[in-house]
Amino acid sequence: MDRITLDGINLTLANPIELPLRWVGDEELLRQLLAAWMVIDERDIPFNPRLIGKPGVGKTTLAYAAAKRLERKVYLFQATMDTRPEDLIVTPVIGPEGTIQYAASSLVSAMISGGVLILDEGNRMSEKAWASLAPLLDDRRYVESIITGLRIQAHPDFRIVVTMNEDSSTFEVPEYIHSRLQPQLFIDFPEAEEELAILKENLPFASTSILNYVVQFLQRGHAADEPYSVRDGINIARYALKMMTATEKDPRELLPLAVERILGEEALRYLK
Amino acid sequence: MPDRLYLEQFGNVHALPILHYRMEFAHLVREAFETVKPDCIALELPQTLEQQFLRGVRRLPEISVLAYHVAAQSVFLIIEPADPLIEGARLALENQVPLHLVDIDLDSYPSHPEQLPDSYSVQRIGLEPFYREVAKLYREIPPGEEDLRRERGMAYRLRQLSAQHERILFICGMAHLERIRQDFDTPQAQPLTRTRREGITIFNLHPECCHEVLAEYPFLSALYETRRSPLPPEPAPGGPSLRKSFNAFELILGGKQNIPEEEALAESVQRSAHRIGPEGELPDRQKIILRLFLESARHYRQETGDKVHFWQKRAFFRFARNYALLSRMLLPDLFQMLAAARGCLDDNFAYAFFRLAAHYPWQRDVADIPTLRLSAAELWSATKRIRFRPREQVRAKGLSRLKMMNRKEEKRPGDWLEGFDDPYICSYPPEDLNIEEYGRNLKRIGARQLSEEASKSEPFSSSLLDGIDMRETLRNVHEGKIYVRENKRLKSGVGCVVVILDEDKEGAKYPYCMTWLGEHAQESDMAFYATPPTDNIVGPGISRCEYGGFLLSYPPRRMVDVWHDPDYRYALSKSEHLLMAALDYSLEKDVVYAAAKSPRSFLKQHAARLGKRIIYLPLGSLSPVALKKLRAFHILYGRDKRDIAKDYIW
Repeated sequence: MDRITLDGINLTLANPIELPLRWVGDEELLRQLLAAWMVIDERDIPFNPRLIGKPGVGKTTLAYAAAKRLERKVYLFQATMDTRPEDLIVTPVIGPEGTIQYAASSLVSAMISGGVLILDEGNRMSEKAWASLAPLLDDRRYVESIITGLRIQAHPDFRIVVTMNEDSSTFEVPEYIHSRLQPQLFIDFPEAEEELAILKENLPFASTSILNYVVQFLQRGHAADEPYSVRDGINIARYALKMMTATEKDPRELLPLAVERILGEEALRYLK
Repeated sequence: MPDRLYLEQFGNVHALPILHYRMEFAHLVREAFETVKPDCIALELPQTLEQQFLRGVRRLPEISVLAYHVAAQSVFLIIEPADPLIEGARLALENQVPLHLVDIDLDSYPSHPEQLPDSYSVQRIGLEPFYREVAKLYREIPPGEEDLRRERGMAYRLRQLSAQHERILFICGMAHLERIRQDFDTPQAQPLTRTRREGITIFNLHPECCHEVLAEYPFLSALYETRRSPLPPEPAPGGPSLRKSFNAFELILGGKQNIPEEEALAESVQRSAHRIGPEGELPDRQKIILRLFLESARHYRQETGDKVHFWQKRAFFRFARNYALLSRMLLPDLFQMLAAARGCLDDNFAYAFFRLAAHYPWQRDVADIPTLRLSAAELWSATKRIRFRPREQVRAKGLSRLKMMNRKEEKRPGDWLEGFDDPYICSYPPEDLNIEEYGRNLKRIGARQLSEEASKSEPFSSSLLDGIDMRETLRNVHEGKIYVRENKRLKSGVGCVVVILDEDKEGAKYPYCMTWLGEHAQESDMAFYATPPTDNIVGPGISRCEYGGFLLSYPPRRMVDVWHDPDYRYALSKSEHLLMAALDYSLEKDVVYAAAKSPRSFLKQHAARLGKRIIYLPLGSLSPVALKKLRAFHILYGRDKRDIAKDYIW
């Protein structure tokens, strides 16, 4: 873990993450995210985009792929309902000799090192937590830690992206945060060809016929506005393949069982 | 000679180097025509197409598609106004100058996927430096055999023409001009080429396909076309609106007016044509985008009642600029602008933007020649392509994937008014569920706010209460005490909810005041003020209204008409009216009042006298997207409309 001293206060920085994710979906979306982060002058400031879509459509993967395209360190912060402002910035922890030490969150670590922060499921956070990010998301680009009294300025290379699920709890962010989280990039369910490519990328050991079968199932689900995502498709195919190894049955025979176990009985009507 | 124009001269040939299908070059053709005053115009098109091509040019401003088959492939040539070759042909016909198509006709020609600079740079730096750079780029690309054959053929024809005419204006793609110039100086043999081509057909392009297959999007083409002739007078403000409305008496009398959507869009085109620069000047593409944005914002406001904020406008232009720059262009194309409209505003704005961008006033689906539907996918698939025009293949890609384009439209003007025969009105159930859920959410927020106000921290004495208050402990670390926090629970519940989206101080914007009783035990009674239902028709028997403010009261079936209740005569505005009713009907102590401004102290005192309390929530602390979803609601004329409403409600 790296340490840094800011205005006489020692901060422990979080480590960036490395994930085996590759974006095989719509290249235009990747370009849109990069366009949102782009600056054309040192006086220009980047956007703070948000990625919106149903669960499992690849929002985090897209954000990670775009950050890697920029060759930056990637930090991830999973927001929850009980995320407090100090969790987002600096948290005091008790050191080995009973002393108080300060741990910088992944957000602050990304700000200091000029990395990319993916704020996952941002809509789950309370307004209070969002309020602490307000100065970071506008021209000021800093955060204030109440616990340490520090004002931490973001590195010019720092970028942030917020992912949000498109369900009933989405968008519950107040107006002043809404105007700071622009633009909104919508990720829809992929087309059949893209869906097959994503499945192939994740399950390179599966036969194309099984993946095609899963894609057809998913496409029928999308047409009926069901929330079945490509992540569900991967799980279905993976489960069927594992069962095949265990039972030596044909995986196509096992697919209804896999669909039922992953998505429930009501999903069986989309199998043909 | 105008600064932007540049002509290559060899012999008596004045050659204008162009990029195909770009509006800036179409305008430069006009300038070149004025400057050279030619007695002959030569174009980089094969003579075999001449007859049908000229028929298409004469049809302008209506757009035509010239089509023929080569083996199993279909070849299309779109005849649209903002193209330099088409402009050259038009000028020749209008001024009765002899026109010659000097290219040779080949059955196969390879496509060139080269990336050319944005034609907008001609506006800023002029044609000469632009052409020098592009010519340098082409010098590094070895020409194909087909290119060389075409260039020699054109040089041969130009030599023939130069013997017969004094000043020839030759309009030619930048890729070929340099070599044609060299070939012109050396005697050429007559090229062996096809002299006739059978099966060339000309079609009228279906208006719904214009946005996909035109190289310049229809709005820009329409502006170019409007500015070709003397400008018509600028439309006066307050013309036709895109909000489909009707007069109730007219409806009763059976008189149904035509709804002038086309007129409203055509007015936007005319107004924009005036405001993108002085008459006769090269239209500035950047200004065209600005006008498209502003006119779309106006339409968006008419239809949805939502205003485009300055920060949204700024975000749109910044994001669209970045998107274009990443594609190595100076200005965004239509797809990029639509993506920016959707990302920086919303789907409804993107729809308004698309509808205007795709509007070309002169195109009709019925014409004196057969009408053809053509999609970008057909043009660029493996078997069908446009031949003569090298252009980026990605330009229109993806437009049809934007689902918001599938909004239903009237089959004929006045069609939707026929659904208003049923005298019974009802609501749209998904919206009822939505507003009930939002009301419950506001009650939770109100209760939480009261609880937080009542919570306190104190030094630890005997009980940990609700846990250690870390922040307070650290803040007072010098005291050596541990602070604990007590979260107080709200003792009473929240009864009624009032949301004021717009105070409507003038009293004219939201004249429709109603009191509705809940249909079943799970639904609240409701009082609201809104825009009149006759003002915005969105489907057959379906009206769209916008709330100015509303009151939700649970349990249902208790509310009498609050708007005529003399108890509330002291209310100064509709919002106060609703708040007084809420205080009156609330069975619980607390009433949530969400508005931009807190209520007058008189109302707080009034609440106290009734033993009630007002929890004020500033409107800015609520989600604007959730409020926007809530703000519009629909009134259905007859219960049968509930089955079809989802197809029309957006």
